[in-house]
Amino acid sequence: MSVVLRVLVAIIFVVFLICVLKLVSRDKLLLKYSLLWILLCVVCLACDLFPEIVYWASGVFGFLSPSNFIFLVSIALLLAISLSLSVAVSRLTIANKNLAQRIALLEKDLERVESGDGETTSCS
Amino acid sequence: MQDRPATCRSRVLVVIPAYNEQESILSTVEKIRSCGYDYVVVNDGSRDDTLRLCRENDINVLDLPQNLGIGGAVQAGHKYAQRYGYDIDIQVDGDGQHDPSYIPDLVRLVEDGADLAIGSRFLEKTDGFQSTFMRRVGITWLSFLLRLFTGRRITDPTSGFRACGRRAIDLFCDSYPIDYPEPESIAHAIRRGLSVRETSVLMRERQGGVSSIGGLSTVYFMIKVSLAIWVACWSSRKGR
Repeated sequence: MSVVLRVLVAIIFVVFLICVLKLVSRDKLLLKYSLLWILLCVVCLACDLFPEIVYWASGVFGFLSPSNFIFLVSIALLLAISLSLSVAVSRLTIANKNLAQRIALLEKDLERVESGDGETTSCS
Repeated sequence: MQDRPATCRSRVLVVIPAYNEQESILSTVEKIRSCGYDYVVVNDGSRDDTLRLCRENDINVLDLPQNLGIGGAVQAGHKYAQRYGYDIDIQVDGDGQHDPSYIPDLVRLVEDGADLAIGSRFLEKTDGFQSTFMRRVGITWLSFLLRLFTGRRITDPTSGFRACGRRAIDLFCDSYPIDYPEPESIAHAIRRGLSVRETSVLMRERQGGVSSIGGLSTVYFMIKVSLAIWVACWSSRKGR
Protein backbone atom coordinates (compact mmCIF):
# COMPACT_ATOMS: atom_id res chain seq x y z
CA MET A 1 0.00 0.00 0.00
CA SER A 2 1.32 3.41 -0.91
CA VAL A 3 1.80 5.97 1.83
CA VAL A 4 -0.67 8.36 0.18
CA LEU A 5 -3.38 5.72 0.13
CA ARG A 6 -2.72 4.84 3.76
CA VAL A 7 -2.93 8.44 4.84
CA LEU A 8 -6.15 8.90 2.85
CA VAL A 9 -7.75 5.84 4.46
CA ALA A 10 -6.61 6.98 7.89
CA ILE A 11 -8.17 10.42 7.35
CA ILE A 12 -11.46 8.87 6.19
CA PHE A 13 -11.76 6.71 9.27
CA VAL A 14 -10.67 9.43 11.68
CA VAL A 15 -13.30 11.76 10.21
CA PHE A 16 -15.87 8.97 10.44
CA LEU A 17 -14.91 8.30 14.05
CA ILE A 18 -15.23 11.99 14.88
CA CYS A 19 -18.67 12.08 13.25
CA VAL A 20 -19.82 9.13 15.34
CA LEU A 21 -18.49 10.68 18.55
CA LYS A 22 -20.07 14.04 17.71
CA LEU A 23 -23.44 12.38 17.15
CA VAL A 24 -23.09 10.73 20.55
CA SER A 25 -22.15 13.97 22.27
CA ARG A 26 -25.13 15.74 20.68
CA ASP A 27 -27.46 12.98 21.90
CA LYS A 28 -28.38 12.09 18.34
CA LEU A 29 -26.89 8.63 18.67
CA LEU A 30 -27.03 6.52 21.81
CA LEU A 31 -23.63 5.36 23.00
CA LYS A 32 -25.08 1.85 23.08
CA TYR A 33 -25.59 1.84 19.32
CA SER A 34 -22.35 3.67 18.58
CA LEU A 35 -20.13 1.00 20.11
CA LEU A 36 -20.14 -1.27 17.07
CA TRP A 37 -19.44 1.67 14.76
CA ILE A 38 -16.53 2.76 16.95
CA LEU A 39 -15.23 -0.79 16.95
CA LEU A 40 -15.42 -0.81 13.16
CA CYS A 41 -13.43 2.43 12.96
CA VAL A 42 -10.79 1.26 15.39
CA VAL A 43 -10.32 -2.05 13.59
CA CYS A 44 -10.01 -0.33 10.23
CA LEU A 45 -7.58 2.25 11.58
CA ALA A 46 -5.47 -0.47 13.17
CA CYS A 47 -5.35 -2.37 9.88
CA ASP A 48 -4.41 0.81 8.06
CA LEU A 49 -1.64 1.87 10.46
CA PHE A 50 -0.26 -1.62 10.99
CA PRO A 51 -0.90 -3.58 7.78
CA GLU A 52 1.38 -6.31 9.15
CA ILE A 53 -1.57 -7.41 11.27
CA VAL A 54 -3.62 -8.03 8.14
CA TYR A 55 -0.83 -9.81 6.31
CA TRP A 56 -0.12 -11.98 9.33
CA ALA A 57 -3.78 -12.83 9.98
CA SER A 58 -4.60 -13.60 6.36
CA GLY A 59 -1.54 -15.87 6.27
CA VAL A 60 -2.57 -17.68 9.45
CA PHE A 61 -6.13 -18.29 8.21
CA GLY A 62 -4.99 -19.15 4.69
CA PHE A 63 -6.58 -16.30 2.70
CA LEU A 64 -5.29 -16.03 -0.86
CA SER A 65 -5.08 -12.27 -0.59
CA PRO A 66 -5.04 -9.92 2.42
CA SER A 67 -7.81 -7.87 0.82
CA ASN A 68 -10.13 -10.90 1.03
CA PHE A 69 -9.45 -11.04 4.72
CA ILE A 70 -10.35 -7.36 5.07
CA PHE A 71 -13.57 -7.88 3.11
CA LEU A 72 -14.59 -10.80 5.29
CA VAL A 73 -13.95 -8.92 8.51
CA SER A 74 -15.72 -5.77 7.35
CA ILE A 75 -18.73 -7.72 6.07
CA ALA A 76 -18.93 -9.58 9.38
CA LEU A 77 -18.84 -6.32 11.31
CA LEU A 78 -21.49 -4.72 9.08
CA LEU A 79 -23.69 -7.81 9.50
CA ALA A 80 -23.35 -7.49 13.27
CA ILE A 81 -24.30 -3.82 13.07
CA SER A 82 -27.36 -4.44 10.87
CA LEU A 83 -28.53 -7.30 13.06
CA SER A 84 -28.20 -5.15 16.15
CA LEU A 85 -30.26 -2.47 14.37
CA SER A 86 -33.00 -5.00 13.55
CA VAL A 87 -33.04 -6.02 17.19
CA ALA A 88 -33.35 -2.39 18.20
CA VAL A 89 -36.20 -1.81 15.74
CA SER A 90 -38.04 -4.90 16.98
CA ARG A 91 -37.72 -3.75 20.55
CA LEU A 92 -39.06 -0.35 19.59
CA THR A 93 -41.97 -1.90 17.69
CA ILE A 94 -43.01 -3.93 20.72
CA ALA A 95 -42.57 -0.99 23.09
CA ASN A 96 -44.56 1.23 20.75
CA LYS A 97 -47.36 -1.34 20.50
CA ASN A 98 -47.54 -1.71 24.27
CA LEU A 99 -47.66 2.05 24.70
CA ALA A 100 -50.46 2.44 22.15
CA GLN A 101 -52.48 -0.28 23.90
CA ARG A 102 -51.84 1.27 27.29
CA ILE A 103 -52.95 4.70 26.09
CA ALA A 104 -56.16 3.25 24.64
CA LEU A 105 -56.93 1.38 27.87
CA LEU A 106 -56.22 4.43 30.04
CA GLU A 107 -58.46 6.53 27.81
CA LYS A 108 -61.17 3.94 28.31
CA ASP A 109 -60.68 4.09 32.10
CA LEU A 110 -60.95 7.86 31.98
CA GLU A 111 -64.10 7.66 29.88
CA ARG A 112 -65.69 5.34 32.43
CA VAL A 113 -64.75 7.51 35.39
CA GLU A 114 -66.10 10.62 33.66
CA SER A 115 -69.39 8.95 32.83
CA GLY A 116 -69.72 7.72 36.42
CA ASP A 117 -69.53 4.15 35.19
CA GLY A 118 -66.32 3.40 37.05
CA GLU A 119 -67.57 0.53 39.17
CA THR A 120 -69.99 -1.28 36.90
CA THR A 121 -69.02 -2.64 33.56
CA SER A 122 -71.25 -2.00 30.60
CA CYS A 123 -73.66 -4.87 30.95
CA SER A 124 -76.35 -4.50 28.35
CA MET B 1 -59.69 -6.24 39.02
CA GLN B 2 -63.25 -5.22 39.58
CA ASP B 3 -65.89 -7.57 40.87
CA ARG B 4 -68.62 -7.83 38.35
CA PRO B 5 -72.19 -7.21 39.41
CA ALA B 6 -74.22 -10.33 40.07
CA THR B 7 -76.77 -9.30 37.47
CA CYS B 8 -74.26 -10.09 34.75
CA ARG B 9 -74.61 -13.81 34.38
CA SER B 10 -71.94 -14.43 31.80
CA ARG B 11 -68.51 -12.93 32.05
CA VAL B 12 -67.98 -13.05 28.35
CA LEU B 13 -66.50 -10.26 26.30
CA VAL B 14 -66.77 -10.07 22.54
CA VAL B 15 -63.75 -8.36 20.99
CA ILE B 16 -64.30 -6.86 17.56
CA PRO B 17 -61.08 -5.69 15.92
CA ALA B 18 -61.92 -3.12 13.26
CA TYR B 19 -59.66 -1.50 10.70
CA ASN B 20 -61.48 0.55 8.06
CA GLU B 21 -64.74 -1.33 8.54
CA GLN B 22 -67.21 1.53 8.16
CA GLU B 23 -69.53 -0.49 5.91
CA SER B 24 -70.01 -3.41 8.23
CA ILE B 25 -69.14 -2.35 11.77
CA LEU B 26 -72.64 -1.15 12.71
CA SER B 27 -74.40 -4.31 11.60
CA THR B 28 -71.77 -6.51 13.27
CA VAL B 29 -72.09 -4.65 16.58
CA GLU B 30 -75.88 -4.64 16.33
CA LYS B 31 -75.91 -8.44 16.04
CA ILE B 32 -73.60 -8.83 19.04
CA ARG B 33 -75.67 -6.38 21.07
CA SER B 34 -78.92 -8.15 20.25
CA CYS B 35 -77.41 -11.37 21.63
CA GLY B 36 -76.77 -9.51 24.89
CA TYR B 37 -73.01 -9.87 25.14
CA ASP B 38 -70.55 -7.35 26.50
CA TYR B 39 -68.41 -6.24 23.63
CA VAL B 40 -65.62 -3.89 22.75
CA VAL B 41 -64.73 -2.63 19.30
CA VAL B 42 -60.97 -2.16 18.95
CA ASN B 43 -60.50 0.61 16.43
CA ASP B 44 -57.07 -0.09 14.98
CA GLY B 45 -56.26 3.41 13.75
CA SER B 46 -58.86 3.31 10.98
CA ARG B 47 -58.57 6.06 8.40
CA ASP B 48 -62.24 5.92 7.43
CA ASP B 49 -65.32 6.78 9.49
CA THR B 50 -65.24 3.70 11.73
CA LEU B 51 -64.43 5.68 14.86
CA ARG B 52 -66.97 8.43 14.16
CA LEU B 53 -69.72 5.87 13.50
CA CYS B 54 -68.89 4.11 16.77
CA ARG B 55 -68.95 7.31 18.80
CA GLU B 56 -72.19 8.53 17.23
CA ASN B 57 -73.95 5.25 17.85
CA ASP B 58 -72.75 4.96 21.44
CA ILE B 59 -70.68 1.88 20.73
CA ASN B 60 -68.11 0.81 23.32
CA VAL B 61 -64.89 1.44 21.43
CA LEU B 62 -61.25 1.09 22.43
CA ASP B 63 -59.44 3.56 20.23
CA LEU B 64 -55.81 2.72 19.48
CA PRO B 65 -53.87 5.91 18.75
CA GLN B 66 -52.26 4.37 15.69
CA ASN B 67 -52.53 1.33 13.48
CA LEU B 68 -50.93 -1.68 15.17
CA GLY B 69 -52.03 -4.43 12.81
CA ILE B 70 -54.50 -7.18 13.61
CA GLY B 71 -52.26 -8.80 16.23
CA GLY B 72 -51.82 -5.58 18.19
CA ALA B 73 -55.56 -4.86 18.02
CA VAL B 74 -56.59 -8.33 19.19
CA GLN B 75 -54.00 -8.21 21.96
CA ALA B 76 -55.46 -4.88 23.07
CA GLY B 77 -58.79 -6.72 23.32
CA HIS B 78 -57.20 -9.42 25.47
CA LYS B 79 -55.69 -6.73 27.69
CA TYR B 80 -59.11 -5.11 28.00
CA ALA B 81 -60.62 -8.46 29.00
CA GLN B 82 -57.87 -9.01 31.55
CA ARG B 83 -58.17 -5.50 32.98
CA TYR B 84 -61.92 -5.72 33.48
CA GLY B 85 -61.88 -9.26 34.78
CA TYR B 86 -63.64 -11.20 32.06
CA ASP B 87 -63.39 -15.00 32.11
CA ILE B 88 -63.74 -15.51 28.40
CA ASP B 89 -63.08 -13.27 25.46
CA ILE B 90 -64.21 -13.99 21.95
CA GLN B 91 -62.73 -12.49 18.84
CA VAL B 92 -65.29 -11.69 16.17
CA ASP B 93 -64.07 -9.91 13.06
CA GLY B 94 -65.66 -6.57 12.24
CA ASP B 95 -66.29 -7.42 8.59
CA GLY B 96 -69.36 -9.57 9.20
CA GLN B 97 -67.78 -12.93 8.32
CA HIS B 98 -68.48 -14.43 11.70
CA ASP B 99 -71.99 -15.37 12.76
CA PRO B 100 -72.64 -14.49 16.42
CA SER B 101 -75.04 -17.42 16.76
CA TYR B 102 -71.99 -19.67 17.12
CA ILE B 103 -70.69 -17.75 20.13
CA PRO B 104 -72.50 -20.02 22.64
CA ASP B 105 -70.76 -23.06 21.09
CA LEU B 106 -67.37 -21.43 21.59
CA VAL B 107 -68.24 -20.36 25.14
CA ARG B 108 -69.36 -23.89 25.96
CA LEU B 109 -66.06 -25.34 24.76
CA VAL B 110 -64.14 -22.97 27.02
CA GLU B 111 -66.45 -23.64 29.96
CA ASP B 112 -65.85 -27.36 29.38
CA GLY B 113 -62.15 -26.82 29.97
CA ALA B 114 -60.64 -25.67 26.70
CA ASP B 115 -58.29 -22.71 27.01
CA LEU B 116 -58.59 -21.75 23.37
CA ALA B 117 -61.66 -22.62 21.30
CA ILE B 118 -61.49 -22.15 17.54
CA GLY B 119 -64.44 -21.83 15.23
CA SER B 120 -63.48 -24.05 12.31
CA ARG B 121 -64.88 -23.92 8.79
CA PHE B 122 -63.50 -27.34 7.94
CA LEU B 123 -64.28 -29.52 10.93
CA GLU B 124 -67.43 -30.75 9.28
CA LYS B 125 -68.37 -30.70 5.64
CA THR B 126 -70.57 -27.62 5.31
CA ASP B 127 -71.88 -25.58 2.46
CA GLY B 128 -70.84 -22.25 3.98
CA PHE B 129 -68.10 -19.94 2.77
CA GLN B 130 -64.86 -21.93 2.75
CA SER B 131 -62.49 -19.48 1.12
CA THR B 132 -60.84 -19.81 -2.27
CA PHE B 133 -58.95 -22.88 -3.47
CA MET B 134 -55.49 -21.36 -3.02
CA ARG B 135 -56.28 -20.27 0.50
CA ARG B 136 -57.51 -23.73 1.34
CA VAL B 137 -54.18 -25.10 0.11
CA GLY B 138 -52.41 -22.66 2.43
CA ILE B 139 -54.66 -23.58 5.34
CA THR B 140 -54.05 -27.29 4.75
CA TRP B 141 -50.32 -26.64 4.77
CA LEU B 142 -50.45 -24.75 8.08
CA SER B 143 -52.67 -27.44 9.53
CA PHE B 144 -50.09 -30.01 8.46
CA LEU B 145 -47.26 -28.00 10.03
CA LEU B 146 -49.11 -27.69 13.32
CA ARG B 147 -49.77 -31.41 13.32
CA LEU B 148 -46.13 -32.15 12.48
CA PHE B 149 -44.73 -29.96 15.23
CA THR B 150 -47.36 -30.28 17.95
CA GLY B 151 -49.14 -33.52 17.13
CA ARG B 152 -52.54 -31.83 17.37
CA ARG B 153 -55.12 -31.70 14.65
CA ILE B 154 -56.24 -28.14 14.01
CA THR B 155 -58.42 -28.02 10.91
CA ASP B 156 -58.71 -24.23 10.59
CA PRO B 157 -55.58 -22.57 12.02
CA THR B 158 -56.25 -19.22 10.31
CA SER B 159 -59.73 -18.80 11.76
CA GLY B 160 -60.16 -15.45 13.49
CA PHE B 161 -63.33 -16.63 15.23
CA ARG B 162 -61.95 -17.78 18.56
CA ALA B 163 -62.68 -17.83 22.26
CA CYS B 164 -60.03 -17.62 24.95
CA GLY B 165 -60.24 -18.69 28.57
CA ARG B 166 -58.29 -16.98 31.33
CA ARG B 167 -55.08 -18.91 30.77
CA ALA B 168 -55.07 -18.07 27.09
CA ILE B 169 -55.95 -14.43 27.83
CA ASP B 170 -53.00 -14.17 30.21
CA LEU B 171 -50.67 -15.83 27.71
CA PHE B 172 -51.79 -13.61 24.83
CA CYS B 173 -51.59 -10.44 26.95
CA ASP B 174 -48.02 -11.34 27.64
CA SER B 175 -47.07 -12.08 24.06
CA TYR B 176 -49.01 -12.11 20.81
CA PRO B 177 -47.71 -12.05 17.24
CA ILE B 178 -48.11 -8.71 15.45
CA ASP B 179 -49.24 -9.79 11.99
CA TYR B 180 -51.13 -12.90 10.85
CA PRO B 181 -51.24 -13.99 14.48
CA GLU B 182 -53.72 -16.88 14.51
CA PRO B 183 -51.70 -19.98 13.50
CA GLU B 184 -48.63 -18.84 15.40
CA SER B 185 -50.57 -18.15 18.58
CA ILE B 186 -52.07 -21.65 18.39
CA ALA B 187 -48.56 -23.08 18.31
CA HIS B 188 -47.62 -20.92 21.31
CA ALA B 189 -50.72 -22.01 23.22
CA ILE B 190 -50.12 -25.71 22.58
CA ARG B 191 -46.47 -25.34 23.48
CA ARG B 192 -47.43 -23.82 26.83
CA GLY B 193 -49.66 -26.80 27.51
CA LEU B 194 -52.96 -25.03 26.91
CA SER B 195 -55.80 -27.08 25.58
CA VAL B 196 -56.93 -26.04 22.11
CA ARG B 197 -60.22 -27.32 20.71
CA GLU B 198 -62.35 -26.66 17.69
CA THR B 199 -66.02 -26.41 16.99
CA SER B 200 -67.67 -26.29 13.60
CA VAL B 201 -68.92 -22.93 12.33
CA LEU B 202 -70.25 -21.49 9.11
CA MET B 203 -68.65 -18.31 7.82
CA ARG B 204 -70.02 -15.84 5.34
CA GLU B 205 -68.16 -13.89 2.74
CA ARG B 206 -67.01 -10.54 4.01
CA GLN B 207 -69.61 -7.79 3.72
CA GLY B 208 -67.24 -4.87 3.24
CA GLY B 209 -63.62 -3.84 3.57
CA VAL B 210 -60.61 -5.60 2.13
CA SER B 211 -59.00 -8.81 3.28
CA SER B 212 -55.56 -8.40 4.77
CA ILE B 213 -54.34 -11.33 2.68
CA GLY B 214 -53.77 -11.18 -1.07
CA GLY B 215 -51.07 -10.82 -3.72
CA LEU B 216 -47.44 -10.71 -2.69
CA SER B 217 -48.38 -10.53 0.97
CA THR B 218 -49.72 -14.08 0.59
CA VAL B 219 -46.18 -15.29 -0.05
CA TYR B 220 -44.97 -13.32 2.94
CA PHE B 221 -47.85 -14.71 4.98
CA MET B 222 -47.04 -18.34 4.18
CA ILE B 223 -43.31 -17.97 4.82
CA LYS B 224 -43.72 -15.92 7.96
CA VAL B 225 -46.35 -18.15 9.54
CA SER B 226 -44.59 -21.40 8.62
CA LEU B 227 -41.37 -20.11 10.13
CA ALA B 228 -43.18 -18.79 13.19
CA ILE B 229 -44.81 -22.16 13.91
CA TRP B 230 -41.49 -23.91 13.55
CA VAL B 231 -39.69 -21.40 15.78
CA ALA B 232 -42.42 -21.58 18.42
CA CYS B 233 -42.19 -25.36 18.61
CA TRP B 234 -38.42 -25.46 18.35
CA SER B 235 -37.96 -23.06 21.25
CA SER B 236 -40.42 -25.09 23.31
CA ARG B 237 -38.32 -28.18 22.86
CA LYS B 238 -35.29 -26.29 24.04
CA GLY B 239 -37.26 -24.70 26.84
CA ARG B 240 -38.64 -27.85 28.41
